[in-house]
Amino acid sequence: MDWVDEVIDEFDEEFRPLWSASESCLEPLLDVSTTDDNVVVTVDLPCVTSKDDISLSVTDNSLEVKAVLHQNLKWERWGTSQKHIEFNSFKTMIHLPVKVNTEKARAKFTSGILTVTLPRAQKKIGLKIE
Amino acid sequence: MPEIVQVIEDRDVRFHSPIAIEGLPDVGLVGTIAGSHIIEQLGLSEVAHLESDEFPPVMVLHDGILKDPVRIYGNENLLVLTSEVPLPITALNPAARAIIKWFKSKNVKLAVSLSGVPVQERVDIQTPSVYGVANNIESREFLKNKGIEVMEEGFIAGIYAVLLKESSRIELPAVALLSQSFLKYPDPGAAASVIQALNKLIGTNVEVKSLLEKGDEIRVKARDLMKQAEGSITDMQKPMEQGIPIMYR
Repeated sequence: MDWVDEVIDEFDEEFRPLWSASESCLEPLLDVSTTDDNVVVTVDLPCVTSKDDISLSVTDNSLEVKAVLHQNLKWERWGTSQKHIEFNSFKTMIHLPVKVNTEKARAKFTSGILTVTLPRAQKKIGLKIE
Repeated sequence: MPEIVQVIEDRDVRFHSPIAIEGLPDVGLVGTIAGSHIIEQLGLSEVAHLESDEFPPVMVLHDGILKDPVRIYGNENLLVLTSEVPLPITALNPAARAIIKWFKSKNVKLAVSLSGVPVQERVDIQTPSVYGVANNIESREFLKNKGIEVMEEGFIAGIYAVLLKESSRIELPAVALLSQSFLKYPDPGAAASVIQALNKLIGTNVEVKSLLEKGDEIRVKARDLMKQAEGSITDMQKPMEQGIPIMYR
């Protein structure tokens, strides 16, 4: 049932930790918004110093972001097993709300914030009133 | 009947008409980051904590010691309220009543909320501007005299709105300092701006260089609290702050 899946997805989203021990990576905070023409994704990437440390993979309905931290992070007083983990990157996969034109996507990285602008695949057509 | 939210004193301090600073989780975690930095820089120690059945069933460990997540630090002249969890919407009004009542009982002469006002172009702003909101004419003039630009018209929403309202109700002078900030990302730069405005307002001398230097580390560490706070920010009717009031005066 779709609604059950939706509830489970929402629960997972709310309680999923923002890190993965197996991949030594952190999940960044992000925001996805839509305008008439574009899907705009912003991703908070602290401790990433250069755009060259970020790799982006985009399909018509998803965006994957990977970024290398300028130095590994470890919190030796945090939790139980967590204190042994050394994080070296950010990683996230974003499902886009509408299909996008991948060829015209563009990205910029300013003050630790990545902004990816992806034009909608389906353009609006003007409708004449009779 | 016991109060829904109670302030429990952890040690006896003889206050001398202190100023109270409120730094609770909200937009960009500006208040939380600023409050924590002030506590650290001024070496303030815990004087009280808040308890309520309305708060999430969460405790926090620091140096292996169990602590309540909503705490008040201070000395004879300054109090700082901070929280490591977002307050649920149902707890905002009773928490504000308990906090302001306790401040009044300690002869607090001014309550200052520190928070953020989200701006879309924040990423392009090097030094965020700070605006003031006052709960009465005297507080508004105090802000103006100290060179803080006052927000004249508009909606305010969230915990600082109810703290200002409750302060008005019991005639405690109160202001809020709001820095331009990110909505959903922890914003140490906005916290630094709001501390500089606070320094100007009440004559404290809290340096912000170290806050800005460890900004990236704070942004990483604050991700979880920011994500948790997102829900309560929506519940607090924050989008109303972008609206135009229909009636004037």
